[in-house]
Amino acid sequence: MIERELFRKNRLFREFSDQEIDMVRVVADEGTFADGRLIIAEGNPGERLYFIAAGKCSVTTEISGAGTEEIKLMEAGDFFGEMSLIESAPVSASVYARGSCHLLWIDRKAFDRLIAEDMPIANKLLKAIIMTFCERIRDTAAKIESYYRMSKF
Amino acid sequence: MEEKAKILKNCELFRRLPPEALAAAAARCEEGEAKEGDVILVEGKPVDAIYILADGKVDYIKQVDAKRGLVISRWQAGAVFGLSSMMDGQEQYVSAVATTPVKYLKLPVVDFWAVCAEDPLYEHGIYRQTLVIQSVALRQITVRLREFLAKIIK
Repeated sequence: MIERELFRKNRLFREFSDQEIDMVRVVADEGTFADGRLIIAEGNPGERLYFIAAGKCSVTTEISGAGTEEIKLMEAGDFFGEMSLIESAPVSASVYARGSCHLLWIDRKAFDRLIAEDMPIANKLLKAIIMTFCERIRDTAAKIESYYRMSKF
Repeated sequence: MEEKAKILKNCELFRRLPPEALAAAAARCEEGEAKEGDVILVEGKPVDAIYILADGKVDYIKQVDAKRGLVISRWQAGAVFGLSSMMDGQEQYVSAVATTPVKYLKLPVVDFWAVCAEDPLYEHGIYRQTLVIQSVALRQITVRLREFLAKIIK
């Protein structure tokens, strides 16, 4: 089974007890992705929630008429892929390995089961995702302000 | 009271709540109105309540310099404002401005958490719907971000 400490380092599980983390460990999987490897592709259905255990991942998007642009660099402790699991919508950006990276993940079925079967775990997990969404919304809104200023030059 | 519960039922945030929880939440809501151009929530200020739009239209506006604000997203009946700021306890990242006469319900922060605390199932339903709402908001902001990014690159 995957080491407990790898989960503990992720922002999603900071408030989890050992026992709660163990419930995630039993349904999780892990793997190493080589530099440049596509992990999730924009427009495809999202099927996994990923946690970065080591290394970095680049979030990119297609800009009409301009090609691919990196919009965010994520590192150990971050997670991604949750939006598509929550909304059952296509993935909104692509994610690539930036250098070799070690990822943990749980698939859609395991995620749905976790949040349906154990209410305290579910509520902790959902609250942690909400707080991260708050941060992402704020970051993106702040970027709009700076991009707007740049677009005026 | 029944009218307030109907308004809440039409709001994505409360979609998973059973009728008794909707009634309890409705009892804690205050009714309010705004005129066209009124600022319901102010960017940079903390929120003391969430607002559920019952009627009318509201724009989310991000201030980009001293004189100019950009419309980030447009909302109509059923939308909820101030949710992310209430969740993380930080300041509003945009202003919510009425673009028509507006009617709303105001649910104070303390009452929101009281509804969640009544039953873990209520809390669960509200959290799940919060994520759906935040996910839509994030996608909309990202679309605007891409538009500016495209302008810069071109």
